[in-house]
Amino acid sequence: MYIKLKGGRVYTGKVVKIDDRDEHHPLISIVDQYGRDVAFDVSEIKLIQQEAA
Amino acid sequence: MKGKEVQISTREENLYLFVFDLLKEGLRPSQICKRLNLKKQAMQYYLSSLKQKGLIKKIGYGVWETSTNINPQEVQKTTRLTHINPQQICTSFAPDTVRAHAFQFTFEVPENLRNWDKRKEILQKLGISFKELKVFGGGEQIEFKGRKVWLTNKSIIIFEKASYLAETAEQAKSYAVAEALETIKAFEHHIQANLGRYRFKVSRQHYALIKNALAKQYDKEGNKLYVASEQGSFWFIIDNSFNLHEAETIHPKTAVQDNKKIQDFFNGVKQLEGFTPQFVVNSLGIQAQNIENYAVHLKSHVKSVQDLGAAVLELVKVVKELRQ
Repeated sequence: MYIKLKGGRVYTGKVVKIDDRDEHHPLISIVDQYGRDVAFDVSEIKLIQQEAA
Repeated sequence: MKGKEVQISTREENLYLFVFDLLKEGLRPSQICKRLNLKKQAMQYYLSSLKQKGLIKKIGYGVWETSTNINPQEVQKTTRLTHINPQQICTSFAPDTVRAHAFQFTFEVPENLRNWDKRKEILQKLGISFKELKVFGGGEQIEFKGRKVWLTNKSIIIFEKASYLAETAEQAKSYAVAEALETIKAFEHHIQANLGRYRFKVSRQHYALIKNALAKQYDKEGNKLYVASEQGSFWFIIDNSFNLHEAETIHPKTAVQDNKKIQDFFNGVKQLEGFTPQFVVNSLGIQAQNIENYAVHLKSHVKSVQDLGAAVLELVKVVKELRQ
């Protein structure tokens, strides 16, 4: 998956979890291209697609 | 000196209910803007929030339909929702990706766990609020890090709300179990208990194939599918519950294996393009016709062999006569 955040950061990796315990701030967890675990608020996402454009 | 005029932001005020009520009265957004002295952009803000909450629905240009059942508390709590929601994220995944969800983990409480029978007093002492459970044997319900946790005499049950995404059900389950172990560890610390070596089972697990072809077909026609095993428990459903065209395996014990079978089936169908039930029926028809033709040919062959046999006998007779 290719994910671009509103802040400009870009990740390529696998989305492993969507946590909507807080319905207003759902969290998304990914394992990025370097194998790091990254989590951020769904509202930070600007673009998400299967592959880089 | 005249002080600088400060425009009071209406953003802090709760106008959701006003906007909702006026829409219900039949006013158009532009009329509401005039009445409440709102800017167009602010109006759009309230409309999109109410729309995402499912409280209003656009039915025409500037015409909104309001839902009849509404909880004012819910509207007051409504905040601006994010532009992208979890469902939209899931739509970015490849078809037949597995979304594991609705997990329920049951951790066994050791028989000799100290003071487990006095847990209510301990919870009160620790300042942890709980609700009484109205289940057989009783128990307590606690909210822990956004999850519902049940404490019963024999077990601690954790209800996980998150969705785990992977290419296979096994992989998704492994993510969920890893997280459940972290959760129970933190929970032990929270209630100051030590369960020792964990003994647990996954007592509920759902594995959905996102954007599944069969589910799409069912959802398009507005149909639902519930398949029960011979024992009567449901193991496969299509009900468009998450609006993602999902085909779900839901059996508490066999959901992972069931999902693998379903996934293999659909991958097989995808690889063998044109391999449809109609194709199978046609192929069987052709085979049956071939067998029938073969039987007719065989009959004529038998006839020829019989004729040949008779001719040989006739020939033998002639040869014998010639020798005499």
